[in-house]
Amino acid sequence: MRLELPLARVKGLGTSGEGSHHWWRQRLSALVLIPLTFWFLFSIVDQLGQGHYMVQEWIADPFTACCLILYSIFMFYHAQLGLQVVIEDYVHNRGIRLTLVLFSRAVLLLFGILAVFSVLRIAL
Amino acid sequence: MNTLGFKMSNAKGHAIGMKQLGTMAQAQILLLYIIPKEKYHPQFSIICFSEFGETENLSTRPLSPHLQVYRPQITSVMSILHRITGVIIALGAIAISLWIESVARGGAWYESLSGFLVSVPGKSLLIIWTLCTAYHLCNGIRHLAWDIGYGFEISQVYRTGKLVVLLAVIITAGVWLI
Ligand code: HEM
Ligand code: HEM
Repeated sequence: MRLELPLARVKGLGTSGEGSHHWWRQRLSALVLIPLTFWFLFSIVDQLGQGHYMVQEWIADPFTACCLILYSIFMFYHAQLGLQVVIEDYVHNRGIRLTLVLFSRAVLLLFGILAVFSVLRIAL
Repeated sequence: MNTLGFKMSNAKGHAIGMKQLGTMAQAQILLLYIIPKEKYHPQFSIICFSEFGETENLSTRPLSPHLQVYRPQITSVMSILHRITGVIIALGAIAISLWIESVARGGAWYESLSGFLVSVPGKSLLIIWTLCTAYHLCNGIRHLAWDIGYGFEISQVYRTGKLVVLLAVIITAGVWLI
C-alpha cells in the first residue's frame, strides 16, 4: 500500500529515518480496528461465563473465526507499531532502544501467531 | 526587560536586547506580540541559536515545555491516557491470545482461566480492560479526525474530549449491562 509521495519515500524523512511509513501503518491499522474492536467488545462478554463447548462452537463459526483472525493480526500489528513509538520516546540509549523494540516485536509476533493458530485449531 | 515584560538573557545570564538575537529568535519574539498573553504560559522560555552558534536562553526561568511547571489540563491528560490505555490493551492482546489458546486446549487450562475471569478480581480486570479499550477506540477516532483536519478549534478539542470520556463510559456500561 503506497499513500506517500515518492520524494518522501526516497529521502526517508524523519528522525526515525523511515519517513512516514510507520505513521501510515499506524493510522490504517487503526482504521481497520475500529469495526473489529466494536464487534469484539460487544461479543466477548457473552462468552466469558459460557461452558467450553459453547465457546468452541462460537469460535468455530466461520464469521467469528474470520473476525478473530483479522482482529488478532491487526491488533498485534498496531500494538507493535504503537509500542515502538512509546519505546523510542522514552529510551534514549540507541542500543537499549533497538533491543527493546526488537524484543517487543518478537513477543507480540509470537502471541499474534499463537492467537491465529489457536483460532484455526478450533475452527478447522 | 522588553515591552512584553520578560527578561532576555543569554546562556551566561547576561542581559541582552533584541539586536543581539539571531533572526529566528527575533521572529519568535515578534510572534509573541500577536499571540494574546492568556494563550501562553507565564513561565515559558525560548531557546535559540545565535548567528555565532551559542545558545541564547530568553529567560532565566525553567526551560519550557517543562512538564513540572504545567498545570495538568484535560488536553495533556487525555493525550497521556491514550498512550497508557494503548500499552494496557497491548498487554490485553496477549491475554486474549492466551484465552483463545485455552479454548483450543480445553480441559483444565480452560476451566482455570475462565474460573478466574468470572471471579471478582478477574471481572474487575476485565472491566478496566473494557474501559481502556473503549477510551482508546473513541480517542483514536478523535485522533484520526484530527489527522484529516477536523476538530482543531480549541472549543471543539474540549467538546470532543468530553464526548470521548462520556462515550467510553457508556460503551463500557453497555457492554457489561446488556
Ligand atoms: C493496515 C494494514 C497495513 C498497512 C497499511 C501496511 C503498510 C506497510 C508499509 C507501507 C510497509 C513499508 C513497505 C516499504 O517500505 O516498502 C510495510 C512493511 C511491512 N509490513 Fe505492513 N502494512 C499493514 C499490515 C501488515 C500486517 C497485518 C503485517 C503482518 C502481520 C505486516 C507486515 C509487514 C512487514 C513484515 C513489513 C516489512 C517491515 C520492514 O520493511 O521494516 N503489515 N507495511
Ligand atoms: C485493539 C487493540 C489496540 C491496541 C493494543 C492499541 C495500542 C496502541 C498503542 C500501544 C499505541 C501507542 C500510543 C502512543 O504512541 O502514545 C497506539 C496508538 C494509536 N492508536 Fe491504538 N490500539 C488499539 C486499537 C486502536 C483502535 C481501535 C483505534 C481506532 C481508531 C486506535 C487508534 C490509535 C491511534 C490513532 C494511535 C496513534 C496516536 C498518536 O499518534 O499519538 N487504536 N495504539
